[in-house]
Amino acid sequence: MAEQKKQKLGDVAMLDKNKIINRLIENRNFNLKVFQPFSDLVKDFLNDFSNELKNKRETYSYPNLIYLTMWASKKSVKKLEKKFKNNQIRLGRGLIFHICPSNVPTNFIYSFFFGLLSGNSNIVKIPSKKFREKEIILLTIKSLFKKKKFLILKNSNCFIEYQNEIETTKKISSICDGRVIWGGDKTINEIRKVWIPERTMEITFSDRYSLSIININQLKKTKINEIKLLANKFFYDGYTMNQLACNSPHFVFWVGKKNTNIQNYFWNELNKIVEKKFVFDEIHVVDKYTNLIENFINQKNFQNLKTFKNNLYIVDPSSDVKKIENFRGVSGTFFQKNIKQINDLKNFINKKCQTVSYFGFTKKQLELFILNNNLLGIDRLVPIGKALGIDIIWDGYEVLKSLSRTVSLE
Amino acid sequence: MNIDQNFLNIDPFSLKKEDKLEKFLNYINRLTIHHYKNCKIYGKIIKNLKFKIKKKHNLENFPMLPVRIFKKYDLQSIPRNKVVKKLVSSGTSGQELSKIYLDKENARKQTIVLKKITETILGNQRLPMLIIDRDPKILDRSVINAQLSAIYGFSIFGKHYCYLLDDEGNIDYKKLNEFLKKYSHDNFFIFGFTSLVFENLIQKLSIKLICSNFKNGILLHGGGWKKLDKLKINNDNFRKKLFSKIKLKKIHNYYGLVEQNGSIFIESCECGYFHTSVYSDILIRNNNFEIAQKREKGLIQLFSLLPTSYPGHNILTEDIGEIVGEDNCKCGKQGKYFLVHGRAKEAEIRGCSDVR
Repeated sequence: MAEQKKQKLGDVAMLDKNKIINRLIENRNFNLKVFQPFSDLVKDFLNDFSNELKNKRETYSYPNLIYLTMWASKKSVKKLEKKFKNNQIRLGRGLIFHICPSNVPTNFIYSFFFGLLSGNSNIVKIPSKKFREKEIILLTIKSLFKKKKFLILKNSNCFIEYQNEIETTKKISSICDGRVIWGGDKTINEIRKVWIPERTMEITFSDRYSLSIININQLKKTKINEIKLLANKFFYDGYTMNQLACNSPHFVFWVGKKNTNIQNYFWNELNKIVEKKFVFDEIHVVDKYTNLIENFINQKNFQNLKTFKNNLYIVDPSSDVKKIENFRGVSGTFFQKNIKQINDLKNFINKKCQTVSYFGFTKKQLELFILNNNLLGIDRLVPIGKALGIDIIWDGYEVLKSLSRTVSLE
Repeated sequence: MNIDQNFLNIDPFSLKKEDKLEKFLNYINRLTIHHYKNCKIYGKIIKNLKFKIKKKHNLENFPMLPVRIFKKYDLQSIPRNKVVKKLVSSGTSGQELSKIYLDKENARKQTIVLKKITETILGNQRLPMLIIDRDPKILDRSVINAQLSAIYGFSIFGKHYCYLLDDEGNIDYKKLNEFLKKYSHDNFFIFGFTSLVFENLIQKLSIKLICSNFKNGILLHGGGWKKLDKLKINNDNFRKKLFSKIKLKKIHNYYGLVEQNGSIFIESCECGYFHTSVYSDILIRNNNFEIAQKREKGLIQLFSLLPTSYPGHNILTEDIGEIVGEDNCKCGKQGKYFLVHGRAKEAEIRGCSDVR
């Protein structure tokens, strides 16, 4: 059986010659291998990756690469391992096929790391769009694969790029033990039609919606300097990915007694930061304005619109907000609404909701809110400033556990 | 909603700012109210922008629609049964297309104004017309794309039509030579898309196989430079190449939106700039949508007095341009004169909602 699989993997390599897929890292001897989760070899690899990336000067021009160096560092992986809390016998499932969005630069590397950390061999379909971040990451991996100590990893992992030819997707799907799909609903539905073996595990990360909650009572007690800091963190969450990531916030719920002064103070501070730090190009502002007008067309009439030049648009929707996932901004458009208490948030939460970034709530308050309201949505709550982070628990899955198998021993 | 006939009758490039502005503002104001009342979607947008429709406004304060809206939504200010023609943009496959709905009156005005503007370079007599394209031979003219619409639109200035290309897209030398033999001793009109003109007249045409040069030709071309940018061909060497190869001197680029058919902007030979007419205007905005200085590059916003059956009178394009001056161009035309520098570049980050 193992022999047969090896041969089939050889077929995948054959595709290269027909130029259907472009294998980004040479490796002629693909050899399936599974490990324990968090094996020393893999941890060593991630740590070297982090260091290698840190040594590249260019890394520091990209916030998402800086974050990546931190994510893969020894210290952070140690924390992940602790979070993984494994007290069972576990091994990787086998070969994981990762289908990553073609339009975000760094997502594919996290998907790959999930596969590695859970103990698998991986074939990663990487974005076809040209991103400098993508190139830097691949160069880093290439140089690590040259090291003798990582030869096993080199031979059990593969990065490929192809236009969405279904035949290639079919071929790889037919031999994989796990398939991870990141994408919009339409793409996921299309790929899901492609057959996978009976025992193959599938995880889909579909289009999601994220929002923020701010406790007005706490904000009132907060020093001016710290409000500035909060605005800075919110800026990072909201603007780094032009509000286009699933975990970028679009909506801010102000919880507590309405306080227009302090709300406006926060937006003013945010505006100042955007003015200083964010460079809009023409297409940003066209996209942003077009998005605003589309919201006007698609939603009920808005109560209010406040614009800070093109830096920041704040929209107060009509009183009844249905289907919150349709309230989406681009490059700094935020919807806002006042609610009296955190439990009122439940009226707006549905399956589409992923990340809630918060300020001014205790973990206990949030836990009670989640447990007592029979919610279908919200998979993640993080303090404002951490919305764009990526965790091994994602979209409600314990990803590393899903990608590994448990062996029971009595 | 009608523009008064007198305004339609004046020479399109004859008004200085002080003579044009008040009237123009008045029409834009009336158009804004007209569409506000008659187009539900437009009305909703105006309301949500908190625009005070009854107050007096400067030109730059009137609400502009982003051009992409016409791709996603059907915007009409007339009842459906009044639509006589639907224009669609010619975009490449896979892209969404703009849809423009015309009633009889709007279609008529487009023709009149296109004529007024084009006459300034072609004169008021129909000229023999060489079209740098294939014969479209399409019978159903109720839905037409921008490319066809331009060919049909401009064909009213021509006669004895000759299509340069055969059905396979090759130059038909027999037809071309017949045309040149008969008409090239006097003015004749050449029309085509910039990229097709480049491909066929500059690249493919064999001088040895033609019986005459094009020195009496007047070329009108448009449709953008996107394809030619890659080949590093700009307006200047485009003109030089046409002159050195076929002695063509009178070359006019035109610029305009399918959303504002009729009130196009034509480049003068003498200066190489596009000009606004009395029916149109332009503003350049920086990335905060503030009005840019002369000679400062920014997003192009275009006004047209023609759209009455759909709210296309005030549009924010995705093109980059700059205003060079106003009312003092050396070619003698009044109005603003400007340059277009192509499409704004696509942004890099595109979210995780789409794998394609």
